[in-house]
Amino acid sequence: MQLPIIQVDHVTHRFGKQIVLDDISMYIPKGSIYGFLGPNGAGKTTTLRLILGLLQKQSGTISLFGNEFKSHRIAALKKTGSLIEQPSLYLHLSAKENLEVFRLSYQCERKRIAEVLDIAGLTDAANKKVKAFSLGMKQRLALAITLLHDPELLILDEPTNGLDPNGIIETRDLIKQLNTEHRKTILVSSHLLSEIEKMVTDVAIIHKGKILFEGELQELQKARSGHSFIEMEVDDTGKAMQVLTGKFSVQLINSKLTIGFGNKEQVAIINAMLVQQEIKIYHLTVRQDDLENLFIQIISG
Amino acid sequence: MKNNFLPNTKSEFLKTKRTAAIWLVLLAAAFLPAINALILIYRPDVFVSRLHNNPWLILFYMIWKNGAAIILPIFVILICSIIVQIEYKNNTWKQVYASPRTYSDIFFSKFVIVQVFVISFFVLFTFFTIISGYVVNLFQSSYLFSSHPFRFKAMLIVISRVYAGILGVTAIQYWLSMRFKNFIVPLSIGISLLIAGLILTDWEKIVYYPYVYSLHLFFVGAPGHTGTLTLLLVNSFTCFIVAVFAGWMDINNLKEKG
Repeated sequence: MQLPIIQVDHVTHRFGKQIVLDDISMYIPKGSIYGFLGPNGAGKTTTLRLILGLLQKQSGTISLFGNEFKSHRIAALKKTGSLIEQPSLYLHLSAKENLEVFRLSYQCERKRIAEVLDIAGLTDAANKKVKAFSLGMKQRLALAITLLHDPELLILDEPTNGLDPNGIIETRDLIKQLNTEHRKTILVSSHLLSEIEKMVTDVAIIHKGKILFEGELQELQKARSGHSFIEMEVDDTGKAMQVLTGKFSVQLINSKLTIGFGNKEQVAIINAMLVQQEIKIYHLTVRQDDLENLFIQIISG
Repeated sequence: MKNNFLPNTKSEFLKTKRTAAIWLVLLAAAFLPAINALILIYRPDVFVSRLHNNPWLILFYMIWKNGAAIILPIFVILICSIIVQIEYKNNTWKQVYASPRTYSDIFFSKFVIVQVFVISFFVLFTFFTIISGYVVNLFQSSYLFSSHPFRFKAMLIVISRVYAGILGVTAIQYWLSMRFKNFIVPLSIGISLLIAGLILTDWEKIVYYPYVYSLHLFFVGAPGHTGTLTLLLVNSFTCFIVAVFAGWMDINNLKEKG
């Protein structure tokens, strides 16, 4: 097992009487891109804010780089870059001035400004005021700020939120590049599993303050292999359901039949059974349950 | 903290670039000298004789009288709000608190910037007062500003007292501005307390009311005035120290930062 960069142990958090995190534990391995998934309001941002010390911890322990965060806050933050919710930028300053504000705090060399602007693809916009930036550019500048001090760990909360498809692809590529070329460990949260599965190595799924799954992406992908189905459009759905019920799991959804199957031979069998009964098949599509459906199945218990 | 405090203060100063803070200090410092210059220019019949013996000091007192009572406290209330609002408006508190800075560093580096702006106000106010004297002389040669020396020492003593008097308000308003996201809250609390102080200015317990210390330290020693210099200075410094400490403790212990 890889050394954990972040370890969250039995953390519970309440806002008033409402429990927002219920005894959660997470283990973020070094060198991973760790996807933290959950619908809006599941507790993702609260968890990330607790990890960064933006919220006072109520119970449990949080360790970064092997040390308890509270007693090693400054040392941990020196090695961490973060982007929580929307980009935190001074809109009245230029990109370069924004970076200078944080460079002074991180006490890193001035040349880092040009380097991170280059990584974020913002060299040409360095002297432009941030209020004139598009959301995608702001997001990239916020990422550049997180990289200023060359941190080992990046904590990114919904970094593709609000971006257009091109911006999403660019951000995703940048995250992957930071992991592979710059060896950053990245904790990235999202409510879109389809987005996360394209870049992460490890996943945790949180729902209503509880961690429902934690493991490598491959484990999650294995879990979906038994979730394939055929979508069929026929002339007589009632008769078709009679024929298949008992042998396959059949559901009628939007006047289409959805039939679960285990292997591709069964697809041929289903087709033959319906043809034998003179049921006309207008359309047949084989679908594999995508992670999104699996995600919904997991969070709905 | 020792190593990082200066660069972080520099960083805080950079954040004020192109903000209303710069304009506010210029306008607040120029407002009264400009008004008084106009009065002197248009009413030489009244003022030439009044300013005959000691024109600079009398002009200085004329301008500072309203400055210490109203303009300076309002300026402090506004500047604290503007400087802290830079973070709230840009949603940057979370980035500040997630950077490797101690909570004390964050609190005090910004407070230093507030003090820099307040001191800038004093410097500019004095500068504009001197300019206003010369401008008056340009339009009305009957005034004697050009032929009289500045009374720097006397001015400096008054300015130092007024600054000591406003310190408590800077600490209270800074704390309130840090505490409340909505800038209306510190603004309305500050202005209400100032107005209440001005209404209650003849009350014998007014020496325990920080929002009028700058006014009372300006008038200290004048006939019928409440409070001695020592009492007002002690109260003002005590208020400053208590408010800074209470603000620092409170902000340090906030359960949610950023």
